[in-house]
Amino acid sequence: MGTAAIVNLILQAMQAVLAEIAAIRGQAGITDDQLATQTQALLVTNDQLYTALKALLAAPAPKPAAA
Amino acid sequence: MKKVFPVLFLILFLIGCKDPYGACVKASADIGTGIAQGMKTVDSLRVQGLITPAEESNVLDYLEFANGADKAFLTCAQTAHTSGTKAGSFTACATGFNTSLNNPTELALLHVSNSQGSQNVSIIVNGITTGVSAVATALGGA
Repeated sequence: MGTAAIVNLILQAMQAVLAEIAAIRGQAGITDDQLATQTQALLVTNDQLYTALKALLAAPAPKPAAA
Repeated sequence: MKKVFPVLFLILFLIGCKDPYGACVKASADIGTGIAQGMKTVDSLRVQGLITPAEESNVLDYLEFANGADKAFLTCAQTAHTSGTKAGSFTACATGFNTSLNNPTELALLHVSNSQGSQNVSIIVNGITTGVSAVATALGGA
């Protein structure tokens, strides 16, 4: 799987976590500990996105297609 | 780009908050969200040609550093909460976070030559640092 595809997968995972945080953030009855758990998941996803973006930057530029 | 950071709204929400653990957790969540958006935005700035790959790499390093500091802040708040709130514990967590972000070595990573790219990066970073300062203030010694 190419680096760009990995970045896209991580972005999708991140969107899911962000959506979960946004959803529970305003809900009544959600405990601070539950929000803390979701936040920890987000911060881990941030690490993954960082690693993937750095790998993308370090990847050699694709060669132009042969004529 | 204008709504990369909800942090300023967080600040208004936190003022007067009487639950320091809850305030810290919400702040950590919102700052983490801002860091996520910031990483995506910085990559799009590079795709648009507003910053170079090397500049993107440096700014990502700063955002990852801020992410680590946010993790440490959240853990600190959870520990303060679990061990029973001692006066000043939560504020110490926020102050530590604030100090980390102002590390000169990390701040030196934020140089961007293109003026529009530089403005956009400043918005991202100022959002984080302002949010963290505001949390420390809002906790008021708790």
